[in-house]
Amino acid sequence: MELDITKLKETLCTSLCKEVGLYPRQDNRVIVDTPFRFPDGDSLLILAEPISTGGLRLSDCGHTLMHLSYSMDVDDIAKPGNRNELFQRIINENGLSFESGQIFVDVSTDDIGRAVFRLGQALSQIFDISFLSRNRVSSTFYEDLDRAIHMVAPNARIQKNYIVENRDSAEDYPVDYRLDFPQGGLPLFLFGIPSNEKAKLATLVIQHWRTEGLQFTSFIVFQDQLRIGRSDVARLTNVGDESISSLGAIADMRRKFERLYRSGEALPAEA
Amino acid sequence: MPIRDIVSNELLVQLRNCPKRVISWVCQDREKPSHIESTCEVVSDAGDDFLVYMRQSKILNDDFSCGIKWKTSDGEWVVLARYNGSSHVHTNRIDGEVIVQQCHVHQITVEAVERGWSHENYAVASDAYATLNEAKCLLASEFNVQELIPQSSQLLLWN
Repeated sequence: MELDITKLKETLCTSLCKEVGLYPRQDNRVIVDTPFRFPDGDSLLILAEPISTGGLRLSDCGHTLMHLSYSMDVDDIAKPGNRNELFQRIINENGLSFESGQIFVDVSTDDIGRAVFRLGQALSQIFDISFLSRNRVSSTFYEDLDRAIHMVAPNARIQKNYIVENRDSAEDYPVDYRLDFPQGGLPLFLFGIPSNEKAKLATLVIQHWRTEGLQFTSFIVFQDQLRIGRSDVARLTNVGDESISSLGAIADMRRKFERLYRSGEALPAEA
Repeated sequence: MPIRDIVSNELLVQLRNCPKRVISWVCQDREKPSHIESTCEVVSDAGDDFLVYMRQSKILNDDFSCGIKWKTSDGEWVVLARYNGSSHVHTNRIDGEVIVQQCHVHQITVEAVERGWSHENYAVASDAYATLNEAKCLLASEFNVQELIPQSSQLLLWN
């Protein structure tokens, strides 16, 4: 059966029109409501207002950056770096302007349909920059760390969220991972460090178990050592035995494990 | 544990009602390109950490927001509620209700968390506030946050 293109186009146009609403505001701007939405159900804010040269300005009036600020520091977009490059690319590729926190496009009235789509698509892409925020990236860090550990040690040798046995209040001083190597020797206590707060906690846990007389080798894996406060890094590396500066240094982690346990054969080859 | 594993109506009610107090301001009236922002750290009597944040657009008076987040034991920040201005349209995913040019309060729901949606996707229209300051007062009252609103013994004659 062939599609009736003419009828389908008519239906599509009617359907798309139903999804768009225009709501006048008291400041003489008009809300152009579209199906473009943030994940929390709020519509992307697109306001239309006449401009002196004729035509219309479609603007988010700074709402997108404000929405982003709920989950990240919007200054990160202004500073040189990945977020700024991505932001500029989205603005340029969609032919938009960015001034004083507002993202906008000036168009002739006839072009409003295409411009609304262009602006809506761009604002959605800009919101996605929040997925690069430090908080969200840190939430994937532990998944990445877990994968990395399982690449260098067999399951049977890994105890995740390890609580030291037969010690008072041990649950207050948990260890991210305990690894036991077949050669014997000291168990390895490994800590993932995505934040200053975690660096402080790991310092406290390592110091606590040292004071308790527990024998172990500690190993620190920073998400990004450069992003941790200098004094937190100093305290942690003072009490810790070994570390790597990021998950990008897995080869170094492997090499350090092998040196600590004196056998390349103890570690399975990377998958 | 992740919020998805522990969420329940009882937990959400307890997080809402537990007494909390502001312990420090991360920033107050900090100017950003598009808005002015303030954020403060809040702690409950039980030791749970919260953040209260406020945003006011520099361009639109009715574009403002005041929200409260709770930090889980995993370090995940979970939005419990956000009191928005009337600048934009909101649509609830669960029931399709559309809120147009009305202040509305986003609320975390068990259903949204369990379905993997944005936790605070559900919102209800409100005429209990019309400005950021009024939204802040309402949040302080509904979430039992002390010291969010400055206590002043001075007479209003000076204002």
